[in-house]
Amino acid sequence: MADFFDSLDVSASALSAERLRMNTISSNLANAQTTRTPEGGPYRRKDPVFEAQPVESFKTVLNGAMDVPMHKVHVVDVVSDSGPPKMVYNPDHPDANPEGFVAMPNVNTMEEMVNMITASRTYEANVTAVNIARGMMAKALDIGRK
Amino acid sequence: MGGLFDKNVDVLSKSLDMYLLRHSVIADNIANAETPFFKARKVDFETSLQRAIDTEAAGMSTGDRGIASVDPIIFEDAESEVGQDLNTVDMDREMSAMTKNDIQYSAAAEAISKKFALLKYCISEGGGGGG
Repeated sequence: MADFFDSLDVSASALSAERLRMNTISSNLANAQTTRTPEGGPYRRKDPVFEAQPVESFKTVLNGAMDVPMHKVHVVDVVSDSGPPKMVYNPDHPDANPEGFVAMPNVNTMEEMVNMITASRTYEANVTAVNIARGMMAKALDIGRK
Repeated sequence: MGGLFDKNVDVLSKSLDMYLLRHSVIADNIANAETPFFKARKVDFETSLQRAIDTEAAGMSTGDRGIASVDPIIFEDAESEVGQDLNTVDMDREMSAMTKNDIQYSAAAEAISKKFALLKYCISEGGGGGG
């Protein structure tokens, strides 16, 4: 049977996954005008890939198939968006091509802002789940105390 | 059965277990709200618990472990809409289900506390233990 700590672990994994997503979004927004990167060419938009990973606790191993598997959020990878760079006409720019166009990052600020709100809301929802689990735990300890 | 603790205590403690399980499943859904292909799950135990209570009330046996042997059903929610990334978690519904479940847990914990307080009162001959 699932216990308090399983649900806390699951919520915590989601918190760290959403935080990582927030960091990726920050990186995308910060580098929205970056034309040089170590890999060469303009910065490419980064996106984390989430995966539901069944929790292997001592209890799930002990109870075998009888148990209900919970799923931690696992960040499999952070992938670069392969979309084409935005070509901006700016002949004076040192990175301009012979035709005078500069390859700018494929970051869409609006899209990043929307993703940021989603990440923030999901984070808050998981914080609520942690708080409720904590409240339930406290109530269980209070049984018979009065 | 019988003894110091009556059937209510069994039913309430089973309920506490099940509410905890439901919280874990809801927390699991919320945690994976942004995971592609994740299917939201629900817990139903009220139906089988009610059936076990009815069986015992009718004077029939529910097995050696009685009420404690009631098994919850965990199923993928068929009503939920399939959203982006084939994920079926509806955040609003999960949040309200979680709050409701929390309140039910509190109520059951409170009820079991009161039950024990009553027993304590009886044991101490109603006189607060002073004798």
